[in-house]
Amino acid sequence: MNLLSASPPWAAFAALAAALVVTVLYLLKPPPRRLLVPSSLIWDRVLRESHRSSDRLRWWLSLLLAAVIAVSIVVAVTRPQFTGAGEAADRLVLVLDNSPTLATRTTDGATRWSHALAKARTTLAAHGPGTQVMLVDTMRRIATPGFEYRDAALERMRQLHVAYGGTPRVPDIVQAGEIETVVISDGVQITGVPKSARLESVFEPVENAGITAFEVRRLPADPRRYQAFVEVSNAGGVDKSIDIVIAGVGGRRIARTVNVPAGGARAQVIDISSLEAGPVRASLSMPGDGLEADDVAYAMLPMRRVVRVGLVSNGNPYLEKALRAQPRVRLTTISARGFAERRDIDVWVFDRFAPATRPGAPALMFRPNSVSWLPTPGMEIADVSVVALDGAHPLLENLSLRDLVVERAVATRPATGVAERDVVLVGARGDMALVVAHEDAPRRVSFAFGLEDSNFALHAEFPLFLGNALDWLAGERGAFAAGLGVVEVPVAKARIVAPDGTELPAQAIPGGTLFEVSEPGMFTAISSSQRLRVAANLLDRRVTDVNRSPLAPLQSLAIEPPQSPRFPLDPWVALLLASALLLVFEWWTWNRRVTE
Amino acid sequence: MVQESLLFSEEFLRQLEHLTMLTRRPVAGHLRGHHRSRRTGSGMVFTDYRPYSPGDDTRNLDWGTYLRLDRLILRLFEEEADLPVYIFLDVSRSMNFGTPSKFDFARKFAAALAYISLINHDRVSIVAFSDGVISEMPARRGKNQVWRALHFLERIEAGGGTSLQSAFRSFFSARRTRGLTVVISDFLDREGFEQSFQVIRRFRHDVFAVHLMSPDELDPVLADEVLLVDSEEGGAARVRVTPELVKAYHDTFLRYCTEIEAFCRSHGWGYLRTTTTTPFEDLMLKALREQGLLR
Repeated sequence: MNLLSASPPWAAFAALAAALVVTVLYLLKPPPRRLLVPSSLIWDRVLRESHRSSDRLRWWLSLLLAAVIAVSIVVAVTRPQFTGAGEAADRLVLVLDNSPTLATRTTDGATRWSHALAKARTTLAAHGPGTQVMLVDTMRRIATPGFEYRDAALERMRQLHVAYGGTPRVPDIVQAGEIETVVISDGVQITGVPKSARLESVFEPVENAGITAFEVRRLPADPRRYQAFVEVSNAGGVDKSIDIVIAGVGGRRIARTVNVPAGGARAQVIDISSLEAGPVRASLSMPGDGLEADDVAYAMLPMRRVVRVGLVSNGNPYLEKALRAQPRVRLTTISARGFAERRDIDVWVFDRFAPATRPGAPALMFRPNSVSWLPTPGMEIADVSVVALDGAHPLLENLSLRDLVVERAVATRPATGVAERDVVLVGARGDMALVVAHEDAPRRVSFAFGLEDSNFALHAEFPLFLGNALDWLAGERGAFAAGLGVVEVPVAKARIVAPDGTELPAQAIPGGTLFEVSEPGMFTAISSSQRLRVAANLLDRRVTDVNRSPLAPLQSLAIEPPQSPRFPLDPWVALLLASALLLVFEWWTWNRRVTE
Repeated sequence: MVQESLLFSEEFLRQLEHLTMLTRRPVAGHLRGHHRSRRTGSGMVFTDYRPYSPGDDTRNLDWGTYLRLDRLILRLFEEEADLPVYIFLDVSRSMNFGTPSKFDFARKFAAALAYISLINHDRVSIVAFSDGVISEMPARRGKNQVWRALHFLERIEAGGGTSLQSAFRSFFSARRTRGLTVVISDFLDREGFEQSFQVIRRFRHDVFAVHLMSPDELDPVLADEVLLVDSEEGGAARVRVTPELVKAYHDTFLRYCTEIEAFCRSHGWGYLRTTTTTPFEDLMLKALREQGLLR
């Protein structure tokens, strides 16, 4: 029922207005019904004897009661904050550190965050109710902090929680000396604390180990096999023997024990080829672990099915051999003249050829000829040197094309030949696009040069590139990796399904969807045309290292319970009840009439 | 409506014909009638003796006394005279209230009394009054005057305030034979009924007050806050109705009625309080007989 918390002048104004309205309404009451009587002789006697002056008195009493009721209701709703005797009506900036390390458990079973809230309540209790408080959090969950009364700040504080994502920082708040600033933090991640601020510590050293890296990779030598890369950090003061378990679909588990030195980290590469395709969960267990969020991590083990590839070429034995060498490829070779759209092909590979209409399956195209559905090719240029690479793209995973030499290419300028959702993987001088990945379904990868016009086919990475390209084109990619906190996935207007099947609140943005994750998990973004797995993990060594704080440890772990009110009812609720009683009294004294 | 209210059934009229107006005092009628008078004359009831004077009716000489005493003594008899009946009918606006209205009821009542009186050869005057005498039917006698009386009653209309005192002063300022004055009114007179009746009392008329009221007056049905408007004076009083106030009104009204009755009784006058819902036949044939106005 904390609708408002008005300042006393505003509350007084509202109460005065309410009293005025009641008075006006009393004066505007409709005139009484006229009733013709034979003679008022008897009535005059009655009214004379029944002290008519009491009617007037009762009218005033009724008006007074109604005004008191209206004022009581207004005061109960607006809840004006008055400064008590001896309490300073000052201003306070209260900065609460709600960075991820605040979720660390303390030895009393609570969390650093619980201690921070307790300290905040104690700080606020030391100030009068009239104190103007600006509550600020380091993770910027309070979007627009402003000065408000203490009770409102307490209410706002109740809605605050530990947040993930981004760098915790004390906002650029007022640092003038006359405004008291209190920062409550564990000091692990916080930066930008003003010198004039009083820093309250909720830090307590604890044992903690966490997974700081987790990735599922395909073996470059054998694309059919996968390995998991796991890095475990030990933030505690002693060496630890930590059990790591990697679990896949169907309950299959792979366990390892890693000895991690104090303050150090150990990486493990574990062959997980024996696991079924699907979500993979890495977890560690250590007695007395302080932070839970870094104890698990998720990844996706892609499917490894046979890919039916159709090569359309006028004869390119090297490309044909390279494709046949791919372990999962079932190749069908078709001459350019004999090309026809087929349903039994998963990926097309066009060598110096392009069909007249857009193919129904994804395509890898080496220097396609000019057709209407493709961008108009530019002029042929010679001796093209590679100047730009997008190494983060899955197509270029494990590749290095620094020594790629292209003798001839028909390159287009990205501004004219590349759509907004396309990615230029390899570029040339003059803002030319050499290799472009087209995201729109069905996907395609376009080379501006033929294999015989470059040394790409002679590179040792060429088979890897083919493997990457076929995986990407066949849609067999891993999960979208995201951190905790606010996650943006490249799926427009998607609904987000949590691991337990519940749907998370999400916000659509141009070209993607935003949602918030507070614990690691494998989420699914589902749109009308796309389904994307999202592996949300903490994987942050700065968070796992919960003991890296310059602050002094907490002196006392006892959390003061919030003071229970001496009066069982909220005073404002009591005021409302009193108003109701007054209303009944007013009705009884004045409005009780004969209504036969 | 008016015509209907004044018409009585044949049977009721026959019953009325058996009734006679009564007065507690000897009347002073000029014509022969059926009521005792203070005058001596040719009646049947012996009252006194007196010496004979020349010119006296020799038929009343007491011959036995003359033989014994050798003196001429005349026997005197109480003369029976007619009864002057003055019917005062309140036609003020306050009478035009209630369902049925007090005014219609009062006219019917006056018509019935006039009929009884005229049947018995009494002299009947009907005076319509409000804040003065509005109209007057001069004294009429005889059964054939019944329709004149009814016609007079039909013509009068309610209006004006109430002033019994002015009406009595105005009417009795002319010389009127002492008789029976019947006042039919709601007595809602701000000047007070005591002062008004003192006028009649001075002329030593016998008085019978018929206090007419509507049931709504006694127990008004009111709701919430009302502005009571006086039908006669137009004044208004704002009243917030509570059960206590309604009870106070009821008590005050009854007290007012009791005051009028007590005043009448203290002067030996007749008083009848009735409401417009009382069956008319019962009123005429029972209540008025019990109160001694009719026999």
